[in-house]
Amino acid sequence: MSEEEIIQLFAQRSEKAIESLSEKYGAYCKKVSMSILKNQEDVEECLNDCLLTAWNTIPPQPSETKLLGAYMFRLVRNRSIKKQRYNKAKKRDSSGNQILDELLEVLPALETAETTILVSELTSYLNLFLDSLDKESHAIFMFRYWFNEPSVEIAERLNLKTNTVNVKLKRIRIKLKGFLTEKGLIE
Amino acid sequence: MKMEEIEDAITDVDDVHIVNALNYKAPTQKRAKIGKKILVLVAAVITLNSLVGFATGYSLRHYIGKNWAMVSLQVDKNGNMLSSSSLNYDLETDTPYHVEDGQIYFTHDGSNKNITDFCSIYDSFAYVDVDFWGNGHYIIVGGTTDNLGFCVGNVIGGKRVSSVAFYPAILENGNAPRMNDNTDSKFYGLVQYTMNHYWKGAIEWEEWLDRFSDTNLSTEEREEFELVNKPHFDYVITMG
Repeated sequence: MSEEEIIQLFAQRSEKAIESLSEKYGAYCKKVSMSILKNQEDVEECLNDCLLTAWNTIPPQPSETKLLGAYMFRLVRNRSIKKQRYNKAKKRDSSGNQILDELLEVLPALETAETTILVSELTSYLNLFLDSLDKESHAIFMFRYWFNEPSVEIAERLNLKTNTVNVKLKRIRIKLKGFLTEKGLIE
Repeated sequence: MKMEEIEDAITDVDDVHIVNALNYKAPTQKRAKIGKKILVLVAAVITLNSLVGFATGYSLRHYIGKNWAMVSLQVDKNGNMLSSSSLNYDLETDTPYHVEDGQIYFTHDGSNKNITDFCSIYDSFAYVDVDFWGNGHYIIVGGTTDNLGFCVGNVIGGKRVSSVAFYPAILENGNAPRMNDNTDSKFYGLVQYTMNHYWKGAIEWEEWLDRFSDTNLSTEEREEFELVNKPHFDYVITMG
């Protein structure tokens, strides 16, 4: 079913809307959530919350039909991160985001920067940085750091060798560091 | 800035980046096969007498993709080439071109020029850059989308001093593709010479390397070697 048809079902308040949405994006949403929460029960809870949010917000969200997938994945990522932080605060989960740790290996200055950097400011620069990447590097960055995919899966998805993905990721991280340095965010 | 805020910043990137990543179609080219075609060979055969101050262990840089790769040349006190060595390059990440949807794009200089029409099993695209010191660096891309190869080299003091070839798996009669671009006929003549001599079949290369790796060549052997490999003077030009 197309995204437009699914949004129409939501507009009609048809229960089939949830079913169709789950059919189309459920599996990958689950995967994204699992990569953050690493707990089946939490993932199920998170996905149910997201479907409820979708039911309550679609329409008018997303702003464009073609962004339905992005809207759902964002809901799931946000909700999963929130839950993960809650678990961490309650000491139910002491593990951090290992993929983010990898990014911070080349950006320690960002974490310890004395100057105040707003989240929105960093997001703006990340948008610019992503715009500057070639399509393949862009996809690799997003699948790794937004969708939290392991490099072996990215390699499979992009017809590359795992080692190639790792090499490219390393180069992207170095490039990001150079980009943020150039923009004066880090020294 | 807290780690969590960095995580939030990543989460908040524009929707378009999420959509573009999900819609990205990987090239259909079977890259794994390309890796098997790697053959790195260095040719640095002419005397370097004209280069005053050449010391033993002089290093030359080769263009490879967006990076420089190192090719080391050993020369004697008279500037004669004795040996050379090079790194193995990763043809999956270091090529000066990119293949997408059956089209070949030259990416080394960031132009992403579509060079598909220049490339075939007989023809090639040539890129030349002259650096601050007047030394020339060239890259030649030839072959077909599923059977591409390239050759890079340096020209110093008007003489070709080194080149590296990654040749396609299949070459008609073992001959290098012709070049279409003819901006500088003399220089391209030199490049064409390089290609014809160094972009050939693997067996010939290995035989050549076996001999070249022996730094104790007798005078007679060296003369014979140079006779075969030294560029014809018609092709030697002055750069800069």
